[in-house]
Amino acid sequence: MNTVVDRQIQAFRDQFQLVRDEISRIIVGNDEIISGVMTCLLARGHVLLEGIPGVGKTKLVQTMADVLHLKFSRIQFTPDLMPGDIIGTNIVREDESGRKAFEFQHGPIFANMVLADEINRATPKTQSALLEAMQENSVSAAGRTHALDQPFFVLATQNPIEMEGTYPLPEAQMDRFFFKLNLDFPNVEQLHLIVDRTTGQKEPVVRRVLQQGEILEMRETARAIPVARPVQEYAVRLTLATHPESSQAHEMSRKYVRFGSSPRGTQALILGAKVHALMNDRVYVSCEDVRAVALPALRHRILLNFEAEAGRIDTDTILDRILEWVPEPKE
Amino acid sequence: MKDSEVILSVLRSIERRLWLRRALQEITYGACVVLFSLIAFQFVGVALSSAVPAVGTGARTAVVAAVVMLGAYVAWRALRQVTLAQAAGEADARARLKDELKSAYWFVSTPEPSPFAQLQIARAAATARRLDPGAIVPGRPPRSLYAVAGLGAALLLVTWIAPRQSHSWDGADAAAVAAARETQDLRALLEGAPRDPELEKLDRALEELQRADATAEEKARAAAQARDAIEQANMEAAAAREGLVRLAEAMRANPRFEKAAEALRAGRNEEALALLRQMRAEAGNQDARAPEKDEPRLLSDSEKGLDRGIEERLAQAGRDLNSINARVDQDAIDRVVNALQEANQQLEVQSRVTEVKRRMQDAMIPTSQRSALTASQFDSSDNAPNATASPDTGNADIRGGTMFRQGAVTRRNDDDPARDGNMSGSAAGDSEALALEGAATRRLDAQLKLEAIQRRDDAGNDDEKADQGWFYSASQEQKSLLGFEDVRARLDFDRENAMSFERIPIRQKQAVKDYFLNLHESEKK
Repeated sequence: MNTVVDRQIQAFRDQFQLVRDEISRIIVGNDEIISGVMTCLLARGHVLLEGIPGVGKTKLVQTMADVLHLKFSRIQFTPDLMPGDIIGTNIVREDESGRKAFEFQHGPIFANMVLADEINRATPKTQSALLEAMQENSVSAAGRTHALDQPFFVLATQNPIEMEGTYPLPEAQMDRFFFKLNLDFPNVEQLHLIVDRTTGQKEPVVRRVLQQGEILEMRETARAIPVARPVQEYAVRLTLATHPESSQAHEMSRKYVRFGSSPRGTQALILGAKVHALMNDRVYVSCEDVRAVALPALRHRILLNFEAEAGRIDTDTILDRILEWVPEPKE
Repeated sequence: MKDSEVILSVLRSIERRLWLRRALQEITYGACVVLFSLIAFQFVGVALSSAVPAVGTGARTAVVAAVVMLGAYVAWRALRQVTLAQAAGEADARARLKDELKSAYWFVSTPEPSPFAQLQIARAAATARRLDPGAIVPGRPPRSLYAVAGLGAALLLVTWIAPRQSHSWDGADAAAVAAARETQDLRALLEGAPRDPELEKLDRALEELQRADATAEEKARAAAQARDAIEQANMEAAAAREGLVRLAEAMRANPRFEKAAEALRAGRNEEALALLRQMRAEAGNQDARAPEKDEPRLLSDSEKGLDRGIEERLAQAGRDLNSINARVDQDAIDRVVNALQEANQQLEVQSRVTEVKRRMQDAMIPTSQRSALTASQFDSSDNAPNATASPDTGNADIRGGTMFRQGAVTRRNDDDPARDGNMSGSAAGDSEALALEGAATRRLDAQLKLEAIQRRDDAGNDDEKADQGWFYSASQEQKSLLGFEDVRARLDFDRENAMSFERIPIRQKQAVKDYFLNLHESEKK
């Protein structure tokens, strides 16, 4: 039995590495971002990518769609975008016999990978159209529920600086994202590499390396990784430390946090840690895995108060302090 | 061996080592605290026993109780069990295994581990086989053991270097016991002594000093009362001696009492008393043969002179002896005998009191040597009731003032007049007092008077000189003008003087300065 499991784990690692390598042919640097996006995909989550324009958010998602043998659709969110534009609508269709009937026209959300580009430019009404799809993996339209094909993976991007005319995502919507990944500006070497790769005669081409079934298998493998209670306890303590009203809250949480992470945060910590453990050839989750995914899993689930905004305290700072402060369980 | 058993056996081995290490650490930490407390107590105890001598036993009890409680706490901490989960956690942390053993132990303890958990158990077992529990939890002694050794050495050093200090509270207790025993012996000296109010007062004071629960203030008050009683007894004894001398001189005038007078002068009071009694008996026989002219009458107290002092009564009795009347002579002999007996009693009282005083002084010296009090504390606690003004300021409240005065004004037995002024005598203050100024220094008040006289003389001479000048002589108008200016200037000077709070007139400043500079200069210098 161990051999089977061993093979399963080895396959997971190999495939994961393969995808990462392939994406890295296009995307310069951002290894952690690529791993984070892959982790979200394998943990059945959705990812929110945030970064200034031009750092490769959309390119990353497009490259990923190219590497994975999945149905991909892109939705450019604009203020006039309507929910029907995303999920689809019923249209009247006349058959050969002249009989007219309503037929559901699938929207772009009916894909395995959905790029919601600049999601904060659409109205909350449209943004919330994604809620059910992201959480329930189904869409309701005209009284009928339409299941989404698996794997269903939403990658949303947003720009943190051009905030005029945008609609910040509501907390409930933010909580639906498994990870929030921040793309930083590339350093000098990475910039050179980007210029070299993209300004020549031939741009690098990626190949599809992972089929839909393999992704679903990898998802199952990730879910099967056991977690010992002490490690789970550590994840719980981290989550509670973000809650200002909790007895286990960190001092900064009490001072700067209005609302702490939801239970989805703890789920994201454990699921993300499982994928992280597998990536590192481990069949158990360690506290180190939990720490590795803590920032992307929790940073968008913490709501800061006015004092934090005034003091320019961000959630990453608070989480860093919490990670330093919460001790690993000794037994 | 199954994978889970391998893991468990390794964890048990680590657990035992951890327990032993932790117990050693706890014990050595406890020992550190105890040793440090004992070292600190060597110093704190001295300070405490100096401030409150009776604190020794209480402090010792508190220290023992604290040590017992600390020992119990340390034992409780040391005997706490180390769980296998804790051992797994420690092993993970020390061997950097990233929670491998901790997770494996958790999976082992679950009823039906999943295939992934079983794989993890197998991997952890392989890791556990490679683990050396001795490397994870080394058997070397904890670092705190060195601290214990260091503190132990320090304690030994402190105890060895300052044994007197380290047992000062024992010394304080012993001093209290010795003091009680000494006062008991002193009271025994007073037993069988003639009844005397001063002796009773002294006995009460000694009883107060002997009382174990007496406060320092009460003891100081009792000591002062004892001193008063002793001084009073000495005064009365001195008066009795004076009276005896006067009695002897009065008796010498009468040839019949010449032998008794000689005995009295030589201090043989008992012999004189025996002679007088014999003469009284002879006089009584003569009275029996002769017809009685008057009925014997009882003498009132005023007639006996009991309302007067012993000195006066002895003198009066001596004068009465010169009467030629046989009856009166007999009464006078009776009075002399009574007065003599009373004087003897006074002298007996004085001898006992002197012995008490001597023993008290003897006892004071070792007590003060045992005491950890500083000179100023000794002064304020022991000598405060009988404080003597400081020679510098005249302020009796000054700390150490009494001691300074005792040191400054007393004279040694091998006194040398050339060294007057800087002599020091017994700190107990028994030596004869000397004038503060030495022979090299004129008395300050004499100097000031001299300066004033010279000033007047100088002023007079100036006038004379002015009058005698042939070249210029002030007119009457000029003199009056100068006098007026002088008065006005003096007013201004007095005003400035008052503003500057200067007590010493300017003219006398030099004299005062010289006086204090030469205060202790010897004549030879």
